[in-house]
Amino acid sequence: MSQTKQDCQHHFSLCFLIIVFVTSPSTVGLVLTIVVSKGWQIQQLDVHNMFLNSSLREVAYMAQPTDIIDSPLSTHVCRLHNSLYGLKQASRAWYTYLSDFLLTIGFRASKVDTSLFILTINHDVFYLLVYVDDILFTGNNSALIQRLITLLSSKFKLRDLGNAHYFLGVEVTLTSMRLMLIQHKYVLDILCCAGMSSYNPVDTPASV
Amino acid sequence: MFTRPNISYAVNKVCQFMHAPTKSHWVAIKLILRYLKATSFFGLYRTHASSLSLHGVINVDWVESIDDRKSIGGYIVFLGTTLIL
Repeated sequence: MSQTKQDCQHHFSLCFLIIVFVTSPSTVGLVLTIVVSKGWQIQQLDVHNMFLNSSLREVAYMAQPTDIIDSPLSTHVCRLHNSLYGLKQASRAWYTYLSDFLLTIGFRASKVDTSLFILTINHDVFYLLVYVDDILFTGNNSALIQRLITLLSSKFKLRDLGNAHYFLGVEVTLTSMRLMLIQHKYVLDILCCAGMSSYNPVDTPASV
Repeated sequence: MFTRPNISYAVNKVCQFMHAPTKSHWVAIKLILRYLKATSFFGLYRTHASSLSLHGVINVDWVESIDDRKSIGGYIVFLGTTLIL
């Protein structure tokens, strides 16, 4: 019994080494700078129920849901085939599922940022940035981008949000020559949360 | 922090006292929030650049801080004309 428990703990500690799609600000900055300089468009995609998409590699069990207990077999547990929200493996399962698919269709993962995928076809270049279930997709061939989005949505339930406007709490405004990133709404939310919406503004962030 | 490198120094300073904050730190935090209120439309611009060359700038003030005798250093990296790091 104690052996099993130790195994479980070891297993869980491994699961904490989770690779999650968390884009670093500098990667986003880099890609956005390329977008503006090349005059590309950015598409934003949103994955529905991303954790439920992915299959589970480990053997995991759960107690029967309280509402639907199978009364003759009430002591039995359910074995999970797909990943569920709240499961420690869920985000890693999603990462593996999405990155495996992207790699099979020709993308390669960036060596420095696991959430950036790059696809080059002849002279066309595409960048795909993933933040958990938010995806930014850009490239120099917009017709091919649409085809790739169709390909992605055949695999996952996707929502195409069109040109990116709001990503990771950042308001994105793209004009032909420049891109503006502001977090006005986020600032208002913080002030509201701190009960400081009516406070007087000041000119410096620290006393000099 | 994503679009506001201008508060990173002030935020980093107050973060150093998170384990045992006092009233003066709360005053400092309120000042940061009031500054954010004044500048909520501040952000980062990414402008069109004809050349995407990479260059970096650093600066260090050798043991300038009279409070803790520490050096403060910083660096920024530009791609073309845009700050990326």
